[in-house]
Amino acid sequence: MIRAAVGLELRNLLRSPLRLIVLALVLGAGCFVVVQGQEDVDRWQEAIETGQTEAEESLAEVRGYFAAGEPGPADRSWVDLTQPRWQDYYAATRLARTPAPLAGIAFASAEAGAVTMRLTRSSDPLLATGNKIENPALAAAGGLDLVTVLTLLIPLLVLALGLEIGGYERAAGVLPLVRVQSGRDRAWIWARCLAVGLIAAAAGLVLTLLAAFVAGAGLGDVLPLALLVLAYVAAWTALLGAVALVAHNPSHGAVALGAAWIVLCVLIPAIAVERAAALAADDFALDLTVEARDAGAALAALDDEALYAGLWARFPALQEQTPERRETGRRAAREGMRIVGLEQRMAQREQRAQAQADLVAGTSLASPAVAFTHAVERLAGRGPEATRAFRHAIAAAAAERMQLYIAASWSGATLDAEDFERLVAATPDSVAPPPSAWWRELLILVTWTLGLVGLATFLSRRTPGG
Amino acid sequence: MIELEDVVMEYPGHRALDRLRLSVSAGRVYGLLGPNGAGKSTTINLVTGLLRPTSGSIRVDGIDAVAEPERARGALAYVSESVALYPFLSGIENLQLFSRLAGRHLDVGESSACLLRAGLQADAHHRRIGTYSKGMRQKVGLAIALAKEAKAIVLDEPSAGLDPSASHDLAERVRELAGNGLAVLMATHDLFRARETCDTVGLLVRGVLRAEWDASEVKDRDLEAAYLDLVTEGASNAAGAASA
Amino acid sequence: MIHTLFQNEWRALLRDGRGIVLLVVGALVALVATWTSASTDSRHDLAQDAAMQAARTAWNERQVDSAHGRAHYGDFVFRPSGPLSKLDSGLQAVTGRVVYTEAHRQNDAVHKPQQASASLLRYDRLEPSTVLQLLAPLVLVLAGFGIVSSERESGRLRLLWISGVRALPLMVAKTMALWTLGAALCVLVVGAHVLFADAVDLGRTTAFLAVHLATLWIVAALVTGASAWARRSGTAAALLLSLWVLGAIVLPRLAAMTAAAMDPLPSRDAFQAAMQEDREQGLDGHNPSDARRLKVEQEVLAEYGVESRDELPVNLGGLIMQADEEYGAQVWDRHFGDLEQHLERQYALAGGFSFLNPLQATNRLSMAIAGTGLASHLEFLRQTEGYRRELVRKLNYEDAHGVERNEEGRMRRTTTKEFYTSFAAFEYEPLTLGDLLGRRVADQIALATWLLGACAFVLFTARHLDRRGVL
Repeated sequence: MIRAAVGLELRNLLRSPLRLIVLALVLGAGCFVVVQGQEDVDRWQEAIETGQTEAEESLAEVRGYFAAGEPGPADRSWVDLTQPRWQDYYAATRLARTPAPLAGIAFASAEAGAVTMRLTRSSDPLLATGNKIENPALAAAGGLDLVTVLTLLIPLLVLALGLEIGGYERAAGVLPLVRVQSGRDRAWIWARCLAVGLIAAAAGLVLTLLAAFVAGAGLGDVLPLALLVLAYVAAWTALLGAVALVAHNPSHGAVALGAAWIVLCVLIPAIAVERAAALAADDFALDLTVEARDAGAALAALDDEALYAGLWARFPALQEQTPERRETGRRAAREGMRIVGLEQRMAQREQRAQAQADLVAGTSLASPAVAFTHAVERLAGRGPEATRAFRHAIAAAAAERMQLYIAASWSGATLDAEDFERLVAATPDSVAPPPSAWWRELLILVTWTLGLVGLATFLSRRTPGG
Repeated sequence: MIELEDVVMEYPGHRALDRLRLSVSAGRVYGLLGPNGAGKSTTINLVTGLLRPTSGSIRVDGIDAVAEPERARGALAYVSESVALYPFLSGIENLQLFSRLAGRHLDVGESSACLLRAGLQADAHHRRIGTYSKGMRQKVGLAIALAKEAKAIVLDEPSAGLDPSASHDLAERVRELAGNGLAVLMATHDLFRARETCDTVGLLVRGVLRAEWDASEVKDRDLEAAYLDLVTEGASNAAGAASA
Repeated sequence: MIHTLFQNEWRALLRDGRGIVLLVVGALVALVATWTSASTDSRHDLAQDAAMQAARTAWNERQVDSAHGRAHYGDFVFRPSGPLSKLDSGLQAVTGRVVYTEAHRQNDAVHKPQQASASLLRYDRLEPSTVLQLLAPLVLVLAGFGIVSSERESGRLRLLWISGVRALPLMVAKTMALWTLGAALCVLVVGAHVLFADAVDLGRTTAFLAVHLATLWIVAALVTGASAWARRSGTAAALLLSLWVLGAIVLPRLAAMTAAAMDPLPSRDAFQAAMQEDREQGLDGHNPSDARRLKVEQEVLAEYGVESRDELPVNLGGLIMQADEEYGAQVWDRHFGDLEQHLERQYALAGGFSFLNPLQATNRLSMAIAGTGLASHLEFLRQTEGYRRELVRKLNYEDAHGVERNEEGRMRRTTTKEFYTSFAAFEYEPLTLGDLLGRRVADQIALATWLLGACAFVLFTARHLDRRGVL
């Protein structure tokens, strides 16, 4: 029966210009965004390479000064590379956020987080900005990337191809004939829906494989995406089946499917976005701005006891060392306390991020579109987790540098080229995206599919002639 | 081949069929007459398994259609008043599709032969159904029934809306089907065509089979008079029952 | 005749379960959107007031420090909500809401609310403008895809013809009936806003209403026309839903991507490097070996007729700092001016799609009227920079002149706490409606063209029905 249904739907597709246009639009848009996505990843790589080249040039310049026995650039007489603060400044390296293999599929996630960061002891990950200058007027339109195409357009393809299934059979009177011929009219409607689902899944998989091919991704990266695409199409196919089994005519089917798409792909996400806006409404980043500025200024007023207690709590290794000079030691300790402040601010941000993450997780249950987006963005390494991981890596590297700086400042020793190289070597040069967990969303999509199949079966048993 | 015994069909507050007994043997055509709402469509839906009776038994080719509806349907073919098919498929493709659903795989030659047997001219076989007249679609419906090699066929108002020539053509095809040994149950309003096509004519009024005639024994005029008498009587009885 | 047909259409809409459901659901969503948007916006305004107060208190209560130290301490400018931001928050979700203003540098607006929405970034917010620009057209599509085709399918169209109804009055009545359904939602949303808002800008609210009513007329005409041309309701539904998806989801994104690809912006690194390069040609207030600094010093010494800076009655550092600021401002004006033009150019390129998509023209005009569009954002940045320059100029002046020399010739600062508390907080002057609409002429032409086109489409369809379309 499924072979007959696939044959029927393929003929239906090939003979209907409207359906062909819809399929061509989805595939055309998909191919376009795959290419755009790869260009975005290329720009990302380029930004990393540019940053690293600049860092290498800067380091080479400093090595030249050491080789020539000069304290620093001739036009900056105040620079002395044997001092810890200038060594840290001139040993600035670049920490790169490596794109995930499928980063291009979610390039429009508007997450313009930094992809590379100049690292010194005072690098502030919360102020890191991306290398892209965004035109807000264009960014507000929302991006069109493969995730958008798969999330919004593939369901529409399912609906456009299957709009009349069930409703047509019932309105035109084909159903009695089907029942007399095959004995199972429900099975026939499911077979037609499944055939439509197969066509949509094929379109989704073609785009997935194209994206993987263009990005040079391996099987291990593509497989989760392919599974998610299949599960997502299955959920929409189940929805199509649920409507097809009860639709009295194609118009009812169209309205029901259109309304379902709007609710799941527009309304529920829109309510969640509104909720997210409400969560952020009272956040004027005072902790990052006014409070941070004042906390920085307040450090100057800390007495030695409180200053060193705070510092040692964060950097216990420094307890073994005593500053050679009191004033230098205090200045370095104050700088060290900035790391403590930064980490406190990051922890506060984490709480807000957790509230948002909970919201997204909750909305994922209510809308397969959100669940799919959430999982795929993580697979692409462009979700909030990836940004957070990068920020943490910056903070950790900055703290490491700060500790080295304080130790060097307190020792009062004159630093040389070897110390410089040790400082450079102690800083990581890249951060890989965190491993993505996509099982939960896959489970949500499978649950949706099973739930809809169950609902369809229940409703169809209550529908006369169904 | 098609046998209904004491079939009762009740809807909430309404009895649509009352102890209906009816039998159509192989090679015979049974015409079920009756006014609108008499229970003809209910009878057709019961035989094709679209409805389940409240009580009574229905057998198709000896198979209990109530207990084993799917098996019973395997022996049955169906042509509706307006044969609805998939408009984007051609006549041949529709025939192949519905035959496949019935578990038969027809190649183009077999399909074409079947359509010719049903009276559809060869030049129409590859045209899409959307361009067919109603009569042509009825012929595709007959071809589907033929291809299924069913033991019995049910026709629901097959000549409604057809011109006299197409109606006559259809009647001939139905007779041919019966000639091939099929039992044919045909619901119709057309007294003239029923008497011409059927071996037996039954009159259903308000769910009760009021009379059965051997078609060859009654004249058109007699059939019409008896029909009107019984229908009017049935209506006044119902009115009397309602006022009582 | 139109009146009778119109009444009949509304009766049909109300008696058809679908019409009632759409109306009730549409109205509910509209009210929920208006209410949630207003409450989020109010919370935002309250929090903003608190944040501004915190920044002001920090400024006022800071110990009296040097004016230059204060210039580095800086001040925070908070982006104000647009005049109609409760109806259309426009770009505010993607533009930063806090600008740190300090000496020597112009900072970006930071902390975009959108960044908080993580994985939901690609979805629209449920606010009144979303309801009017996305959901109301969809309600019209779902309510009206069979408005003519179902008449044809059921044979009622033939009956109407025989009864003497002509196509044009029929089409106009059906379009009007559909439009009034959308208009009811529109009036509901704007009415709720007027009722709940603290202050109502009548001119902007009227313009907002007019633009959306015009758009809904265009949608109603397209839906009625498409339904008349389609042979079956299912075809009309598929076509209209596809057009809605194209207009509401695909084309706006495609327009943005096309504009960005056709006229790409420089990378942040490249932009900053170019600005830095120009900046380095100028003065660096902290660089004592700078040649330009020496030139300023010579000029000041000459102006006061003294030989050395120790004899100056002013603090030379403050004057050098101000000279550097002025040079930096020139550099910024040039680079940011170019970037601003670039942003406007990109936006104009994307605006070309307004001629393909009336919903985009509406979206752009709606943001402009609400004072939350690109022009308003750029104006905010300009005014912020103006505030920063004035702040730093005053502080540099104080740094230079707020000194006196004691008998030993040593310089002493005379700056008081009152000097710092006398600074007025930043106040944004929104662009006027005339200004904003003057910058969006192309979108107005696009919407007017669509409006005329929609009317012509109704006329043309009516003529088609008169000739051969009844069957």
